[in-house]
Amino acid sequence: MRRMIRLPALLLCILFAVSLVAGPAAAGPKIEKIRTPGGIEVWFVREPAIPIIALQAAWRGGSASDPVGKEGLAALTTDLLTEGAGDLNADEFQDAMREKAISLSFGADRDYITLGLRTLSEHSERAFDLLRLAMTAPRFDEEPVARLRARALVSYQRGRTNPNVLAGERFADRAFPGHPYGLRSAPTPESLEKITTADFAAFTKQALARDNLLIGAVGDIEPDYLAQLVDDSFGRLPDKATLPLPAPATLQTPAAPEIIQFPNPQSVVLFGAPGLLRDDPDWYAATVLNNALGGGSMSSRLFEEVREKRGLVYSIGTQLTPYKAAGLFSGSLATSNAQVGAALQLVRDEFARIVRDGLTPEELAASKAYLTGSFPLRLSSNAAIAGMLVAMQISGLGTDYIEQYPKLINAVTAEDVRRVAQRLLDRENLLVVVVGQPVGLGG
Amino acid sequence: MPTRRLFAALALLVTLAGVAATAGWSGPARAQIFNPTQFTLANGLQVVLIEDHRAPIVHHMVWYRVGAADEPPGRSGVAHYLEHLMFKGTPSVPPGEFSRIVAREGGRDNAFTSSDYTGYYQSIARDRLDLVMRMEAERMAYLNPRQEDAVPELQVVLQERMSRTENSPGGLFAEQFDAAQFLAHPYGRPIIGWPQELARLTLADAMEFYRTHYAPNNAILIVAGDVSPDELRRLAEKHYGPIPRRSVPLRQRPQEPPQLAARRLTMTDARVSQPSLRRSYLAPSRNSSLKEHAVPLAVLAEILNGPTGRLYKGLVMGDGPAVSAGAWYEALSLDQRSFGFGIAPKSGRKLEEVEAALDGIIAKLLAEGVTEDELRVAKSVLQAETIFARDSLFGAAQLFGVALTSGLTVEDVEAWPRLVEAVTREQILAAARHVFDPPRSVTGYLLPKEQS
Repeated sequence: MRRMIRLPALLLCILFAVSLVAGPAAAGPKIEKIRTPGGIEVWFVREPAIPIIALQAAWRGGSASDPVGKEGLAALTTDLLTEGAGDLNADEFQDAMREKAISLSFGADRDYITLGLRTLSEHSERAFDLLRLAMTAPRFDEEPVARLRARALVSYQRGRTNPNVLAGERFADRAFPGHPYGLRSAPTPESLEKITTADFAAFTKQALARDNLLIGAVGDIEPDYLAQLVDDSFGRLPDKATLPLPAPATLQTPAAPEIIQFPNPQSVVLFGAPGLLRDDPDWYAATVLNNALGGGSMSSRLFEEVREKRGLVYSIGTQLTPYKAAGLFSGSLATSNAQVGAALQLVRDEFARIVRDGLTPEELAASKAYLTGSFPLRLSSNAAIAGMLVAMQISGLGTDYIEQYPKLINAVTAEDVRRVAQRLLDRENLLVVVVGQPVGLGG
Repeated sequence: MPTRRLFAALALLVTLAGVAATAGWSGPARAQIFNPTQFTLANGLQVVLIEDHRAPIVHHMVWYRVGAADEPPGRSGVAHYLEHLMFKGTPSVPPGEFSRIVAREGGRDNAFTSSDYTGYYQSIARDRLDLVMRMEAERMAYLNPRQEDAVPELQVVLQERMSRTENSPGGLFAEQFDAAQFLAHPYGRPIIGWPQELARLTLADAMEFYRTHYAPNNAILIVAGDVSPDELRRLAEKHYGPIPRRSVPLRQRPQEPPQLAARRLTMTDARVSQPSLRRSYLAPSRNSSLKEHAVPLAVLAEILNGPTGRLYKGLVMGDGPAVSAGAWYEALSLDQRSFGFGIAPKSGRKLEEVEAALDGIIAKLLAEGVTEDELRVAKSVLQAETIFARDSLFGAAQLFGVALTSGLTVEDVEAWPRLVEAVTREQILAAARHVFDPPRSVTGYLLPKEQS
């Protein structure tokens, strides 16, 4: 690929990661808020074109709620939920899913426990039945617990020689020292020794409740029937979640770059600064700025200056990450060890140039045009729309957000961008983490 | 990545690699799934349309029937380098402007190279289809990169190789492993190119490759989305129709000699912290000789791989020696390719033990075949996947692209559910016995330095 070559083993990931397609009609998908008889709210899009259902859900409280010393508890627990529940042991539970081609998986990010469910419409009853068992009657049997512990241990050990993992861990640690966002979200050998089977059950009970639950569903199903299935499954959860949530934090930017010496020919570089929370009034201005500077399309400033003109990198980009308790503005690049200093200097130069001059009128217009025009491409499939429905709820948006989005973006002015550039980019220090044998970083 | 999910992903890969089309299999009540329209322009450009009117967007792709396995000896990586240079200018689109224009029109674009194909695409609002077709048609025939843009772009590709391969012992090992699997066939060469050949590629090499292989009669236009057949035909005639047909070489690549000796390779690298095992066998594809084995092999891969497939049950669950185990099978390849396994042991368990356990699973398969129940469930999962595949228009376009550049027809793709339904236990056993022949195996160990 121009950005990624297609190797056979990668085929599938790319197929689905990039998948595009068929989402909304011109005005976007028609979103209904359903309130079930049991009182659970579901954001729903009826899509009868294909006989399938995609449901996504999120519970507030993710790996940032792991108890100190038990890093990875959320990740491990969520993986275990589909490894045996009710009368079914791990093997039987997985067989039951496979028998009906049901896909059901839980995960944990920093702020949320996540759920993805996909089924043929004709098997929806069975799918929700398995979902209910996984949420309310997980077994945490000895066999799957031992198996997933062994896997976590190997995964940890692999990470010790993976430059991307090492860079990400160090970045988090330096960005948020002493805060849960600074800790690993996957288990360590030490945390694996502390985590007990009782912890899995306790975490499930604390985390999966009804008052911290957000649901999005898309597909070929009657709303009344969906409501009944939701009540029969999510309706069995406890009323209130009791997980502790992390306190607000601000990303730290130490003066000196963090260098992890690693015997690779190419250095992995992460850089970051405090970003914005999702409800910040400057969010859309920051989105326009980030897209022009180093965001999604292959025409950003950093892409142009560092890659197209000079050939220093294959990949370079920046992003805004709105955690619930901290905003991040971050970026990454990878370049030959000898070019690290030069590449980072170009990044800093572009930051300074944008702070000084802002975006050109053409850049501003192009950034808005890309963001508004490509938005429907993100609603590419039932599963993608279901994910968007949950993301909109996480961000506290209304059901009209998809219609509103172009207006929100188009309302951003050059002055807005200049202001937010000063907030994000006008900094003495950036947090910089390099894994490799970099040259040209001074000190 | 949680292993179970990886398996689900691998299982899906098999489906989609094998892939996917009509649902006529389950009875006349069910409509076709993709229901594509196809036609061919006078200059030989093949056109496939997968209509989907759920959203006012289109996915526009041009696939060339040329990939890394078609490169001249000594020029490995040139197909992929050319792919990068396709963004470096035509008479009406200056260097670097292609993606900029697409983005400004609210679209996304990219490109990809594999052993058997090279593809370019844009996803964009349907009223911009005319625009992207005009630009894509222009670079089919009038690419004109400047030396001053080609030189830094080669540096970009070298950085790409570093990210994927030199920075990753697993990437380096996969390259060595493929080279060991294929003595003669260029599938043994890395798509991105061997480092010493890649570093010496020139603009002239890329343009020579371009003039040899890029022509309408060697390309397939695939559009998925909100456009009618009449509209697409009109636009295709307008933009691609005027490009003259050119003679292109037959795709006859060196074929593998019979493999008479098992091959083993071991690589150590200080950057490896956990060992891993690879095993593969030459295997027919849906287009190669002995193609009758291909669909049974795809079903077998599903049986081995599934979330509770034989590999996971035999190698990972309970006391098994591994933390992850998966199989791959490349049914959609122009020439015969491989059926393989990748396994990671639990901490402290030896690769020898893992390999013996895998051999045990293969031996049992060869002795007893698969069960009726395994076959029934695998078929139902594969059939369900063809329905899920409809949810991704990009995926549908991708399937047709891969199939049509690897020697198949639209009809072959559409026959998939019917072919899967017809597979018998006996056919799977016969295919397994053909493929899993010990002298035809390649086994690779990737080890940390200290274990060497």
